[in-house]
Amino acid sequence: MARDRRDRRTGPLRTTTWRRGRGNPTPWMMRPVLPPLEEYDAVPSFKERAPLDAEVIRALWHEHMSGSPVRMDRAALRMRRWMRTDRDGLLIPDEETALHDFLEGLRGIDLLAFRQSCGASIYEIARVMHIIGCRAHYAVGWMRQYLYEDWDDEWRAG
Amino acid sequence: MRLELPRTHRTALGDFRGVIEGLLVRDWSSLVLGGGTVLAMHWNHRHSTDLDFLVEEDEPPDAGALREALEALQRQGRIDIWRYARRRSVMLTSAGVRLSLVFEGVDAGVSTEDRTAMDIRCESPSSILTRKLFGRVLDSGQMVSRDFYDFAWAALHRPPLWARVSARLLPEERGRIVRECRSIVRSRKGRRTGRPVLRPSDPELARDVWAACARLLEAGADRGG
Repeated sequence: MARDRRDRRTGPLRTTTWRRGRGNPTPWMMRPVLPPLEEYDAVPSFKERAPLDAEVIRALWHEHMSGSPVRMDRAALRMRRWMRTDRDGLLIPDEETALHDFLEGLRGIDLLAFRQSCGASIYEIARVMHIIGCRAHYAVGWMRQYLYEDWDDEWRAG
Repeated sequence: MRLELPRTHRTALGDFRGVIEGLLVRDWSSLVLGGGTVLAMHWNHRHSTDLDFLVEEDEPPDAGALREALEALQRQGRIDIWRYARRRSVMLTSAGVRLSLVFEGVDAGVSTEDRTAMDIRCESPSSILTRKLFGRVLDSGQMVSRDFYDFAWAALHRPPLWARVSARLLPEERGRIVRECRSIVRSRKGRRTGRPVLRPSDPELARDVWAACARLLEAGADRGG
């Protein structure tokens, strides 16, 4: 979803609601923590894979990672491989960093687009987020809502 | 028009008044009541347990010392739980009522209409729905059944209002939300979607809220609103 299309939205919303919270990054200690993988493993419907939509994934990747040396291939198979990674060490450090930065950039409707197009299940997304040690505020908060009642209930590290 | 707060909320607000005036706001008139409680007062379509305030101030008066003050109140047993994040939001819980204040800034310009007990201004329904749709769903990705029940109820019973709010959705955003609603319908047993809708006026709609929302959003796209 290109940002210029989003900016075409008219009305007072553009400057108030939409930009709210897009200031400084959240301090590390205030970031939510991803629940243990076993909790995602326990829900059968979290194993259903979404289809891989290369166009959407490429659009998201290039919107948020346009200057990164880690590029997304035309068929977005790289994303599918990353999402199906099941143990540490399979992603090279550059890929881990890029994926973490990518998840850090995703928010709201982009997270929905990502989940619906990444070719992986919620369980697999949680698994790869655990492997790369993801603490991206919005991505983790969004993953928590699948398990807990409120997006931000009891989310601090301790 | 004067909106009538439920009795429990009125009592809670009376209990919290000292804390709000002493610690949280400089000027009572900067408080704006928003969220589901105001929608429920207008439409009587469900019960809401929270008191959500927007404050037209930049931060609490003594922001640096607020943490200690809240800890002291908790030790005295006047509040059960509190949270204070980034000088922008305060959440207090006492006797089962949750009160939250979000500091929107002095120039927030929240759209208000009507007043409620203690002469507190109330946010307008269109502003509440807009913040729920664009702030929660589009910006944070929260899919909460209470919010979608509000959307569906507004689409069915206040069509011009809902058309005005949802007209700002881009087609692809609308499509994403519809797909997410459908995905929740397919895997409802495995997916929690926020706290339940309490005492809905339309239980059928509350039970089937995700499918109804997908249908209504698609119908809105066809009509161009």
